[in-house]
Amino acid sequence: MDILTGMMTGFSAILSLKVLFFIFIGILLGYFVGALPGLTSSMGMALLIPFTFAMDAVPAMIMLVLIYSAADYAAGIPAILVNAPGQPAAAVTAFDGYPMRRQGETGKALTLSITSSGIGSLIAVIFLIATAEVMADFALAFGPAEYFSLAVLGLSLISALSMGFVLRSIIGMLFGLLILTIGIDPASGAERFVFHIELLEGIPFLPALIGLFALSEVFYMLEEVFDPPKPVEDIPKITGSFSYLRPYPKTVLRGSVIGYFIGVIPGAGSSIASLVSYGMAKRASKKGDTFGTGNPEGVVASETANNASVCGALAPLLALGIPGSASTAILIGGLTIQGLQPGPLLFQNNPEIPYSIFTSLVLGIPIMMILGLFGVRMWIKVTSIPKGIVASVVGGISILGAYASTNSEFTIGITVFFGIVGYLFRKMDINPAPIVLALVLGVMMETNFRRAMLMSGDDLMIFVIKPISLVLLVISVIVLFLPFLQKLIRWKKVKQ
Amino acid sequence: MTVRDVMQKENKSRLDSVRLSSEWYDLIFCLLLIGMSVWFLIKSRELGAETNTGAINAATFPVTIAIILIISVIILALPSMKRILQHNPAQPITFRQPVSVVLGLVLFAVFPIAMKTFGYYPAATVWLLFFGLAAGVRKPLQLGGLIIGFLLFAWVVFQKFLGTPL
Repeated sequence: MDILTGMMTGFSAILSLKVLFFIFIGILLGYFVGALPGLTSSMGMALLIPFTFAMDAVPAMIMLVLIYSAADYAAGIPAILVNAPGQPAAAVTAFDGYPMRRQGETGKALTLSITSSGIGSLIAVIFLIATAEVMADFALAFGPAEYFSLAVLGLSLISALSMGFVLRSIIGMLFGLLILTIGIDPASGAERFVFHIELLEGIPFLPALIGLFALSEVFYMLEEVFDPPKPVEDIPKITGSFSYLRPYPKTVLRGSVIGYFIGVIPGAGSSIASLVSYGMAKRASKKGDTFGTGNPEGVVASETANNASVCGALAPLLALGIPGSASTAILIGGLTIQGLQPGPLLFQNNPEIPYSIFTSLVLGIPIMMILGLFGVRMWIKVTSIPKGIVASVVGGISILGAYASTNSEFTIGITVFFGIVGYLFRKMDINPAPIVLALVLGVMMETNFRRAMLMSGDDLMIFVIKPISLVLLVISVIVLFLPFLQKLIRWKKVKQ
Repeated sequence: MTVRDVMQKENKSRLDSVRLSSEWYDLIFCLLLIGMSVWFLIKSRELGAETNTGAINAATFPVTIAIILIISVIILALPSMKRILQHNPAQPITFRQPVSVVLGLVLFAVFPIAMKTFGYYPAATVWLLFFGLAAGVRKPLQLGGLIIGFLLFAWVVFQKFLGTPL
């Protein structure tokens, strides 16, 4: 399908009152999640998936994608107002946004954050529309060997998600892969490690997801419930003027391009995108030494890149079925619940899904900008909701969401188990993201490995003689061992 | 004694944090993960030849993963053991507000049983009351609003809209 026809399909799929309502709801909820420090987009999406059970695929997926996008969009608001980023990526925005606030330039900082996020997202959506189907067409030639190698690559990229704790992340991933084998063997149909009848179909994905992302965060919130709040007493005046962006056209364009392409790399994510964009803007700027002291260009560089990276992350998800981040792994869960298979065939069998996502992003950006510019009073109020109430509500929805997925109390137990595991793992610097990536990619890896072995008559060389598979495996090895090599080189340098 | 004095006294007497040696924490976790991997290895032996698809059977993948996990965990545990033996501890792991966290853990763990026994609404009412208190929601109006608001939300959204049998 060509892009124009695809976009027409997308527009016709979303132009109904019902879908437009869910676009607005998705953006509103995303804003809420993004503006509230402590709630992340992945947590918000995990909590919201149960609400999509009764929905059609198009509004359900649009709502989830817009929660993801709007949460990143709004995360700059608390970063600027109270120096508490709503999402990890917005931490870079706080470098200059918060000093601007202290210098009495809150309105300008918020306007810059909201407008540059909007422009960054818009440029990235154009890239996404132009590249996603091309990637999908390329992936149509993939066989089991290539899919196995692609899953290996996706899993090896957890080293990028590890924030310096590669071995610990690998352990998290292996833990995820091991528990994934509980249930029916995908090839022979035999029962494996089933110690409870309700585990016959494997570890239920959604309750595990809610536990790892939402419930583990509730325990962290409980640690902070007695911390004094950071009140915002004054309501800044926001002009909404695009003229603030006029001095920084190169920064906007550079940030958007960097954000999109870093977003495409599975595992890299918006934090890295905003850091790289910020670093490059600092180097390119004549006033580079003022970065970190309230330079508006720093806010622009960070916000364009981190919002553009959201669209970048959607490309491998929709085209290849490979989640590059925790949030996109949750989107895969959302697609699966709707009976859809992410990957190249999605563009052939259900083109209305990817194209309605693209069109809703295009339509959603102005709504996000309006909500950001005119709803600032509300978002300031959101940042001051007591943590205890947020923890109680998130905890309650976690239980309900887990129960609603199967109507069984057993799944609440699964959520609680994964919530405790996620909390205790995080205490030893094991992020839940590798576990979730393993739960998503593990099945793809094992199934395609066994298929490839059957096809080749048990010859492991099949993974090497196929050029795409070989390239993917080589990249996987490089990506996996690069942090160890860097560490070794640094250690040798220090020793010398 | 004013209300402020009482609150200050309460704040002072509250157990603010518990610190655990990160080495021992790592070691306990490593032992648990090794135990889990060994269980998978033992159970894999029960998967017979009838699960073979070529030379690969249903046990191949879990056995491989379990072995790699054991090796990785041992690599992780070695530096911790070394630090314990050399009496050279790293930064401890801090659990802030342990009373609230443990109460929260217990309340979550008990909820499925309470729900099965008493039904969702009675169990959720009591759960929200105690969880709210553990989470520092002390104003009666806030607590009441939280309970009534949440139960109403559960009834409208989950029971009526999503058809979840609560």
